[in-house]
Amino acid sequence: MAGAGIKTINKRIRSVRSTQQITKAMKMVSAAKLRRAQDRLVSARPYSHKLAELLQRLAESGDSGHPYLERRAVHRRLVVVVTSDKGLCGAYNMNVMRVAQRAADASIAEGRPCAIYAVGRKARDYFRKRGYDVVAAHDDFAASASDDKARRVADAVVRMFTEGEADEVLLAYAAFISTLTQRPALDTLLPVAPPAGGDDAAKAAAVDYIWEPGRDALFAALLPQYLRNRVYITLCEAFASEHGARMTSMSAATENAGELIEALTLKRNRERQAAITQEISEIVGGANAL
Amino acid sequence: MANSFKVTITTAEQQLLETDSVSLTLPGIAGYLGIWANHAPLVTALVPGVMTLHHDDSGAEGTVSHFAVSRGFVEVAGNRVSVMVDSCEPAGEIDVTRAEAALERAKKLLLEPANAKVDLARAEAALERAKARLIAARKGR
Repeated sequence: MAGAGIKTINKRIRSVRSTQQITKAMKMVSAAKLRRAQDRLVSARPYSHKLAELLQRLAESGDSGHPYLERRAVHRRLVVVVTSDKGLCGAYNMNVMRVAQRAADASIAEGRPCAIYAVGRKARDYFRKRGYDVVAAHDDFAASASDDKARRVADAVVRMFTEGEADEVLLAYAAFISTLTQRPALDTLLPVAPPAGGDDAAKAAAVDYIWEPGRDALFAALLPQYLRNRVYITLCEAFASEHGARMTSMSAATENAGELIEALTLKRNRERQAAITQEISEIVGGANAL
Repeated sequence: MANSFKVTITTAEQQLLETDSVSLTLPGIAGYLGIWANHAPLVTALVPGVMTLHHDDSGAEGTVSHFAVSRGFVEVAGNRVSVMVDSCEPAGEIDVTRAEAALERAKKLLLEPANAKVDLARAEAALERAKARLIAARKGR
């Protein structure tokens, strides 16, 4: 029956429209959260750069035996994966997890066990389901970075590194390039590799600093702070990326829903017209038969 | 001014301040230190305390600023001073009642020996921060 067809189409249009309303709302929420996350990232960067510069200068002035800098033979690795807790953000999580999984698989293939430290429910579930060794997971970060959260992750990771549970710690996350672009990145967190200097680094190295109270003590004070800040910046980047990815994918979903509604409306009108035409021809046919 | 230098204060959250100064007093890890123009290149760790900045040497009202700073570092090179601290609050923005409450809380935590080691370290840091805030607030008045 043609009438029933129209009814189902109407029902579908209604359902698509309500989905569209949800995606539209999510897009706007993400846009607001993105703004905040982006502001946080931008204002956190100067401090991070300064700490990195300082560490670089300190490292250039000579070596230190600080345990965080020590390159041990790698027996075991740890990959910290930063993903979202919730879905509906396109390929965001998959891109990061693919990078992390590749690193983990490569390590395991070399005969070096690799554990996973999951930040975000998605990473936890993904790696647990595939039989990886998920040693820790956070699912309460709510896509917003804070000093306290960074401290929790950094302290746990540093503990594993100093206690020999991992000889190398990698960070897999989505670097925030722009709202539309997130680049999956894999960085080494521990042992700390002092950032390489550019041209003005050579100039700065020529300066003969007074290190107070002493270089080793400064390393000991700076490195934990540097690590915490690295984790903090990483969380900022990842969460800004997440909101960006969600906003983009929700915007695409809203558009797709709009197209679907248009197509369905067209189909409905066609069917209605077909039904009317059929009814008329039935009436005409009936009248002719008389 | 010939005897001034540039100061940049950066905290974990933001680039707080960039200004000229004639004298800066900082809570260094080995005790308070003063920095004047043409200071020798220096890097040192900072502990929670009060930072005092003299904008010029006229000694007039409003040319001295006090800040409560927490753990961090300072780098001096070529008449530029970079202060990097976890937090830095101008004296005028310090909530004295809150700082007093934090001081009491930290004292209480430190007097109860049943706490874990981590809590003690954090309580001590909180105590130092609260003290620094109160002193800075008093100086700023």
